[in-house]
Amino acid sequence: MSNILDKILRKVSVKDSKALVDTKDESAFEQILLKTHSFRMLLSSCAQLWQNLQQMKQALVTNKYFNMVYVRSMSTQALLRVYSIIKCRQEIGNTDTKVQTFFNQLRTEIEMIADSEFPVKSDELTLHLSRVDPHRIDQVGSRMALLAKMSTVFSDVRMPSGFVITDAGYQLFLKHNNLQDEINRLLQSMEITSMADLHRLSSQLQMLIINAQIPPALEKAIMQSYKQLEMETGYRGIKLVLRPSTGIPERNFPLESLIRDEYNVGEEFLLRAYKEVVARKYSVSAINYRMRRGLKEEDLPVCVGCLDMINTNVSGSINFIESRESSYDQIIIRAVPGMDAAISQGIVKPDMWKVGLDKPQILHVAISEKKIRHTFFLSEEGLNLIPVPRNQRRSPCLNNKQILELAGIANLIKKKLGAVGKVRWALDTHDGFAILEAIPLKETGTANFFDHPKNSHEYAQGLAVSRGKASGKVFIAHKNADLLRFPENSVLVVHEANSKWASIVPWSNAVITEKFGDPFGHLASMARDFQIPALYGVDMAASAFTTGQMITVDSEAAKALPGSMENEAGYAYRNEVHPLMGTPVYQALENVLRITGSLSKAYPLNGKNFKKPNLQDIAHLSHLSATSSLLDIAMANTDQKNPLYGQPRVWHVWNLERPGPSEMIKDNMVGSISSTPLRAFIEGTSMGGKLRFISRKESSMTRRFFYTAFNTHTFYNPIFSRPAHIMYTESFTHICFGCSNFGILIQAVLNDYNPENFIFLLIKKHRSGPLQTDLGLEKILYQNGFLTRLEKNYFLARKSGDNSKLIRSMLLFAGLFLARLSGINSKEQKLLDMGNLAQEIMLKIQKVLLDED
Amino acid sequence: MSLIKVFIIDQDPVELNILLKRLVKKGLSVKGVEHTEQVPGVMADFNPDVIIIDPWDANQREVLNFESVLKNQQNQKVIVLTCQVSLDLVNEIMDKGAFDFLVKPCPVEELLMAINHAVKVSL
Repeated sequence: MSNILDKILRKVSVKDSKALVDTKDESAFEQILLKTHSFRMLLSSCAQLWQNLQQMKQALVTNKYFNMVYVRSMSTQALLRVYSIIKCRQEIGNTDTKVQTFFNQLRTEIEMIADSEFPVKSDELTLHLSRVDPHRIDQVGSRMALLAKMSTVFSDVRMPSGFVITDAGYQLFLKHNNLQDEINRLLQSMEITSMADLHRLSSQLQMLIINAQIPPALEKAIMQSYKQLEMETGYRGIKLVLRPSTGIPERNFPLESLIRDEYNVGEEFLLRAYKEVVARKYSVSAINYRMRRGLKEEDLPVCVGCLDMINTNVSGSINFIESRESSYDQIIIRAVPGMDAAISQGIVKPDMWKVGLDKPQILHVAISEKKIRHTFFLSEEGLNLIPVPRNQRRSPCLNNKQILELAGIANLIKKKLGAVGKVRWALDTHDGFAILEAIPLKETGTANFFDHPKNSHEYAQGLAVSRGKASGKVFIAHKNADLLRFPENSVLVVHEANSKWASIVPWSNAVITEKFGDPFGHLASMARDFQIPALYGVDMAASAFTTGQMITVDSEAAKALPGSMENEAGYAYRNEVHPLMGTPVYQALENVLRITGSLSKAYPLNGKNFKKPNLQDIAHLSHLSATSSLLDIAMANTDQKNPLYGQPRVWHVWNLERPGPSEMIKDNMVGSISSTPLRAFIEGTSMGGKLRFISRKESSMTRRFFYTAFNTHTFYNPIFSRPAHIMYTESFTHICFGCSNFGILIQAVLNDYNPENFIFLLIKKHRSGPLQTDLGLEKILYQNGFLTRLEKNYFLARKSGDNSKLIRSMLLFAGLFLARLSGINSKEQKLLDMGNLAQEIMLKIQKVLLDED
Repeated sequence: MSLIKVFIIDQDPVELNILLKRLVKKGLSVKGVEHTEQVPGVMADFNPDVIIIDPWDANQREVLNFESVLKNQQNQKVIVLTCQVSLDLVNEIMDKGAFDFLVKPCPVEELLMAINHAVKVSL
């Protein structure tokens, strides 16, 4: 390019060229070069910031998972970009200190969000439940904190006694064995490509923890607490249930529900059981859960509640549910004979009652056949499955009086604590009801679980426990080995809704069980949480389908059908809720984007009256003022006597952001231009006549060219065709048109669905003459809803909003208008009515757009 | 009803000891050995219903001869309980005749379910 330019410049008269480049101009020229460099850096930072913010916004609306590392790194990048923009702006010549102040405030806010720390923790390794501060979730986990709170609030309801092995104890255990580093190493080094890989990772992590030594101080604290509990309850050799309690209160599906409790633990196995419970933080289900929610390892301490076992005849849960009429005025009571572990493990389908709380009344009942029950024997460890006598299998576990008594307890809990989510209870024939714990679990998307499919003998129908529609190849699983061999994106078909299949859910497209299981059990809850369609009670599914057969599971229709609903295997319909919604990491990104902001709708035309700009406003303002400064430099060299008209019909198009090969524009073909607003602008020019466009690389902008490009003499040399120049940037899409009497700056964002679409016009008039009336633009802009502002030397107009059609029409108009003007000579100019011309052009544009529709 | 007899082969003495204690507390009749050479003798005397074996050590070396155990078994069901997991390994072991493949650490209730399933199928 520079060779062509040199040739052109050599033809300029010697006198002219000397006039252009004298001593005074040289130093000013150096200044221009420095500012040009800063300007290019500013443009580059703007482009990168824009991309950065778009990526963050995309993360919130797509189904992609992200973690706090992502949030922190994107936040840091955004701050660095804006810092660079402000610095470059200062180098160009704008030293507005207010902008720096605003930036510092925003930086502090963002850094606080991205680097949130946990509060300072206590040193106590174990803590009796009665001494737990219910607000110190970080010390004992949310589950134990809530239990402690309930113990203080419900003095007349029986609750378990016990102690908590605290986060301090957990941290000591990790530190004593240097476990965290080894855990991190394993997590980072292992590549997961199959379920077997995930199980191997889980196994290695869990065995690492189980084989680690309990530090002497922790062992002593645990055994002392155990002895204290023996004395308190009067039971020598008391048996305990160990319940995990993590530090993060989750809205939808708490992590601790994926970590199994350990039941019927005596003194002999207490330390081993503690390690096993802690190790289950790395069970396959828990790893999947954490990875998909972006939870950091360090953010998830595991505290363990050690509670005395209550002698249980019947047990179950109360789930608070939202009804359509009002929130949480209904509960679902589930009950099984024996321990309720059978429910969560999917071994037994519970009896269910839906009860209205306002005037406690039973609304629905579903009694199941209960063939086995979980119980425990003090002489043993863990739980045992024993058969239920035949004559009791179909008997309701609770009578109506007991149901209403539970409803009364639920009302009491709701009154004092709110609708906590799920409450586990146990019934001892001698001592009545006891509350085992409360879990802040919010069940969403529950179907009417009391309806059974009408033709349940047909193999294709079942009970929908999780919404959606998906296709995939069938994989029938019977044994544990099948857990390891499950092919990703298949449809899992199993006999029972056992919780062990829950680990497969994130890898599957759909789940089918033959037997009816608990719709609130692990498997169903995981399916809902991961938005996988699931059907229970599809009778004979394992014999009706074959492994490898393509089927579609449509839980909306409660059916499983042969064939695929899409051509591709494994297509799955997901509902629109982001899988991370409600999690700390999602909220962190939302908060960061709130501060980075969208381009402020109230963006003032002169950019001075910000009360509190966001990061994008700062970037945009800096971009605008920098470009405006360059325009000032260009305008300073214009010849006031030369008219606007008779512009050369050759326009050079400069992509200021890309030093590499630029877009080629030949014969007005605009298809290759990536900047949407520029494309619209050039389409407009092409309607007005034949303009020849030549693409230029920014890097070829030479010293002499830059100076002369804005000099009137070069434009109006009658012998040679001096080009006009359009310089554009894709971030904020600048179109900078420099000519004799005026410079036009057009900024625009134009996307089909972007609420940040806008068009902004800055027209700098020549030293004399009211420019906007000469051009007849004011009326057109006003009619099209622009905000306008007239200053001494410039005219501003802005239209913002998501009306992409309008903004495109204005860009077409601008292009056509300038193209028409460039074809008018000075004689024609005297006869020209600018207002009529502008109106005529606008009508033409509107017709073109109408034809396009 | 006779007790279910389970024979455990695991070269890790700590894990072996814990498993033995836990399964005994569950009411099973259990024996365990650390080395493959001891297997034939126990098989002959004890005649278990289910064999639980971990053929590999922590370094993925095969320290217990799985094939010889399979050769010696007479209608017993063999369950592999190990940390060493890969898709190829699972397929290979199941193809060779194992009844099930479990991953350590395995909750004793799940192990019991696998044992019960194996015995039910045997019967």
